[in-house]
Amino acid sequence: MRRGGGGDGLRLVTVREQAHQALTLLGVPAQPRLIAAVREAFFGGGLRGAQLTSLRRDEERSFASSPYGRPYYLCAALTDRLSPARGLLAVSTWPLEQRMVGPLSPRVHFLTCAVAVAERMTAGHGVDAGPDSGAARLLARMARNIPGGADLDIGPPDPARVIEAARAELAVHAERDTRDRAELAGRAAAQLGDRARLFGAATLSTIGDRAATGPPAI
Amino acid sequence: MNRLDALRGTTPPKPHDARAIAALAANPGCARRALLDGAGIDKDATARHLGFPAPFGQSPFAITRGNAFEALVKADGCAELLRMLRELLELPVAEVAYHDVENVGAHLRHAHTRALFDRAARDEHDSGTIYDHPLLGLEIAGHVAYLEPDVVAFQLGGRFHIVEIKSFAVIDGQADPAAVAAAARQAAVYVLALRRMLRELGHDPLRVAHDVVLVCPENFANRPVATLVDVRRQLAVLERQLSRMTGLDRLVEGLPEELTFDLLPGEDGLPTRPAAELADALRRTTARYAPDCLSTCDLCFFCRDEARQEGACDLLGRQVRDELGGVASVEEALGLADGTRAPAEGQEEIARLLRNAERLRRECLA
Repeated sequence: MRRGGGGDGLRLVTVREQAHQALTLLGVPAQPRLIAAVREAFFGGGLRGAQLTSLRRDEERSFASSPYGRPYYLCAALTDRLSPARGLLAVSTWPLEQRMVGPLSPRVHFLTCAVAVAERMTAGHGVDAGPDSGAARLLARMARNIPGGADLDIGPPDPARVIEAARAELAVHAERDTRDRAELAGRAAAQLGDRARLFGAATLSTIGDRAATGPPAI
Repeated sequence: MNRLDALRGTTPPKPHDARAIAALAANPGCARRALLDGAGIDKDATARHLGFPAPFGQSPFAITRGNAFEALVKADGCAELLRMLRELLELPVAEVAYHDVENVGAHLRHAHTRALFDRAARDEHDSGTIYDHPLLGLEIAGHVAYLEPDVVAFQLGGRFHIVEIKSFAVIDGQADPAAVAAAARQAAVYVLALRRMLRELGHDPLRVAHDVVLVCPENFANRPVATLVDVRRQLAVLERQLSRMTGLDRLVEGLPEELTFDLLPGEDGLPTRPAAELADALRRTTARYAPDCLSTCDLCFFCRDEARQEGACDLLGRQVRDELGGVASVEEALGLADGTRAPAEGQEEIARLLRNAERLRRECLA
């Protein structure tokens, strides 16, 4: 797979590869909407969130017919019930903990994404980082929702400041989130088969039932 | 409740949703609506069969817009919502735990919601902050209605807050009062349902705040803004209305024994009962039509038609009806005004006002 580089728009890249590039940049499970925004900001547009809706199902089908036939799969992030999390895409080559979603994970994911986007902007990589670029708009939208990340909508956000603010909030959540996800990953590794580990188990029990059979998740 | 089932007859009951329950509170004086809702009658099918279909329900465009706005508010782990809750309610930075109740299958969501809220109420720490799409149950006249608030936020001083996401705009701090009132009524239904759930679980129901968080787009952009709306008044109306519904027996007692609103659905589910007969049955119950009904009740056109035939003051709106207390029809009011009709006992005051108004009108026109 080719990485980086500006979006020349002529190269034929499948939707699947485009999503993979964006997810690799972010490093955490993400919603189709965010994947499309990152694609547009850093690799050139052309990907719409709606194109990703059936992707996970296609990948699961492909995995079922020939397991591990591809170098990577776009798979599910798993909830505290080991079921697939609604609307999140992840990469199968990530360690299991990275694909788990504990109660704090959505926020941690968001902050991690903001750091990744801001770092990518400061690193350059041929990114158009002008105030009207897609990258700047994406970062501005994220910075607004991080305490201390942006002044009152004046001017484009400063990537360094966003990184600092996001890391400050991450420090508050990181410990508990890492603990939750490690515990979930342990359970997933112990209880799930290959396919369910990637694409999630069917949901049949409520948390009450689970409390009777195993340790509580949270 | 057997009498109510008889009113519904062989037609299957229709479950209530939050809008329907909120509409109850919009016109508490209407005995017809109370009876139909109490019996779980499908008012929409009834209205269509009577030949008065209401162009009712949300437009698909409004639904799409609403869903898109809700997705925006909840995107990226509720990033926008967290910002607003931090600004509005001073939510601590550490409180970000998110539970997507929709992750479980539909048949388990209610049980899952109960378990999650029980845990949250039991243990002050380490529980969730944001619950996405929980499923609450509220018993309405013997039937459980399932309700789905957009978000319930917890951990703001150990209290639950209902968050209602609406896509009408707040422009320069002002929003359409009718839309806000409707949102407040709907949120009050959720508050009530959640309070009842907590009470059943053995917790203090007052831990559900009566201030709901209303999230709307601000000005002409799509940027969400949150405001606190006090729904105590709506709650009081709703509670009274629901307690009246359990006391429907009184209303039922006044009805003839053989009365039924059954549509007699055939094998294809289509009503077979003659429409005129059904209309006669409905007219045996008193409605309290007001122009506001047009936005809340399926039967609005039927009741409006009835009010028109009677020339009732109700057509002119609640305010006029209240001013004309004791005068039932427009014809009567006009008669009192031009003096062709002698005021009955108790009507002297309103008759004097009407005659004065008529004199002023003539002087103006002369």
